[in-house]
Amino acid sequence: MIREEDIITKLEKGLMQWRGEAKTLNIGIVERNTDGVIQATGLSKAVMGERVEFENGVSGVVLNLDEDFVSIILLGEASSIKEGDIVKRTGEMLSINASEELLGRIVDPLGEPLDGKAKIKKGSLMPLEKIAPGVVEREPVNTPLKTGIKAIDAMFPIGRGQRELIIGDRGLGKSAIAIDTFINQRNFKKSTSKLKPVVCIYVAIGLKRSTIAQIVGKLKDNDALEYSIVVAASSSEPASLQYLAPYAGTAIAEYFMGNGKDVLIVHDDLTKHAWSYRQISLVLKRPAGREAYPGDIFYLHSRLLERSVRLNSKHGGGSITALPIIETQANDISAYIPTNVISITDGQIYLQSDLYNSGVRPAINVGTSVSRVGGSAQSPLMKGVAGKMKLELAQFAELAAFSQFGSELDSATSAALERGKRTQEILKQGQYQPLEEPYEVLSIWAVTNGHLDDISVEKIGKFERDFHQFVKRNNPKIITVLSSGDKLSEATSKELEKIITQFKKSFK
Amino acid sequence: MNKRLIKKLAEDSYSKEKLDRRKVFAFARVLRRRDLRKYIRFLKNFEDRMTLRVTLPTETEVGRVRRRLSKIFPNKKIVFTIDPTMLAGIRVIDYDNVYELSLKNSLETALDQITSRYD
Ligand SMILES: Nc1ncnc2c1ncn2[C@@H]1O[C@H](COP(=O)(O)OP(=O)(O)O)[C@@H](O)[C@H]1O
Ligand SMILES: [Mg+2]
Repeated sequence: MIREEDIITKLEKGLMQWRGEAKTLNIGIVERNTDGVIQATGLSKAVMGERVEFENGVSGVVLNLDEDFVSIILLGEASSIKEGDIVKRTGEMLSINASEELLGRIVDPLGEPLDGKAKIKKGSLMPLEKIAPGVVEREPVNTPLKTGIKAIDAMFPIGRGQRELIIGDRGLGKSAIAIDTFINQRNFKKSTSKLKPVVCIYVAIGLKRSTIAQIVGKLKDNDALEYSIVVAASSSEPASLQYLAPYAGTAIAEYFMGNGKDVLIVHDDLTKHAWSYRQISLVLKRPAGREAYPGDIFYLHSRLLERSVRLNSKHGGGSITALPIIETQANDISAYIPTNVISITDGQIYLQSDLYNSGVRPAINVGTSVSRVGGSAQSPLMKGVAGKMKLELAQFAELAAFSQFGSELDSATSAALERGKRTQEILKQGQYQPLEEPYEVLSIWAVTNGHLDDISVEKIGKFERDFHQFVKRNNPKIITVLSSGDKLSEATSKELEKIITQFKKSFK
Repeated sequence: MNKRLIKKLAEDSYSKEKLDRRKVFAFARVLRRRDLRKYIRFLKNFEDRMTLRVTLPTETEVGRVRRRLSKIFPNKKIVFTIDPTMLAGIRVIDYDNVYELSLKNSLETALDQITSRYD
């Protein structure tokens, strides 16, 4: 119940104050609305990324401050705003509501649920635009982010807080690598895990709705959705929403990082993000540069990926690992957007169509892929076992080309060729089958130590599966030993030799 | 024509801080249709920047307010609107800045506070 005297005291207080406090507002006038991209004059005090409000209550966000006008992208019905409308500053940055409740959910870049469930109520407002943490808050990357994909974990290891680009033409398994990496994080939810669990965020930009539904379905089927969040702006959404998606995903990631968590964020893909920005810029008639992209596109992506870091323990010790995806045309990595993003990231995993077509899956080009910081984030075990493999495989690619000339090969060369074929074969891995490190190590150890030299290439897939099963059933202790991640001891090596000799007797 | 040039034309259309009709007509005659639209847009923007829009609840204070404001903004044209729903107070719009001191506003703020407290 409201008591009358309360109202009167309140009113009196309000009236006493009113002489003192003038309300000031900074406003603008809409000059143009082209498909939800607004140009307004005025708003001279607005800042980039600020939320602004129109008379009818619809919100927008400041995208650019040009000399003569401010560009705003509309966050509501495009047709609701017309020339002459007044728009006012709010003094707030555009934010998304983030909380633990987001886990397992699918939302749009404004935080609206896309899965038919209730809107997230409580939470922290996280700004979409934010300056990346400075050097004093950071720590070097030193903890593995395991993908469960042998080829990557062995040769291009990714560390928590790293930015590794996945690049390649359409349909070569870029998204597949991201999804398998998400699935693999289930291993770090276990109480026995030495590594911290990972919160996974999938940002889907300009993908078809059906593709997004498929990704969500696969995560669900593999029990990965419960620790994942999908931020989606499909190809049927306006360019403005697609443009905002990676920032929204990163804002959510920062919420979890701020709570000391390790986060993995995938941007699938930044090519379509660049398209959305190009489209907006065309509408704004901003000067275009190479490939018709506006000149600040480089800055746009670097500003985004800079926010993926590892924080030191004084700042909570959380991290954001980013796996941006870029789709190339005809394997051309020298186009504008690919070269930009390559220069911003700490390495790239390059998928190639001729490998894919010849059955090498994942179709990773060993020669051109790199991980610049990951080496320090490998367990001593993996480092020791996989050490020489990358070099051997690169040599194999050269030899294989050479051997096609049909010349006589000396025995050392043909032995290296045979070993190379087997190494390539054992690195093949099916989709949705990420492996825990002990099993990755079993496979890599077997091939690098020559135990597969007398197995025909066609049988290697079966050999691997059966060998894993055999060890799991008969020697679970060795799996536990390998789980420690410690360097392979003399004794363990001997034990492994014994096990594989025994296994090979039964293998046909 | 280049946007910068058109803006320059708009600037040059003023003589002693006042829009010069002769210049405007001269420029308008030579400009192409598309450029003309941009030119008018710039002129309108300049006019907006040079105008102070003041809202008062009654006529009574107009003279006094005009005298005081023209001291603070000597180069601006001052336009008055009367809006009795303001109850008391004043609203000044200086291009993109709105300064508002009205009783209606304070009443609304006070009521907002009361309702949020008793909701
Ligand atoms: N490791 C793999 N083994 C077998 N098939 C794969 C593998 N990775 C991807 N694929 C298949 O390749 C196709 C393209 O994969 P996708 O991840 O959608 O490619 P991209 O994201 O590069 O366009 C899909 O049909 C997928 O099932
Ligand atoms: Mg894909």
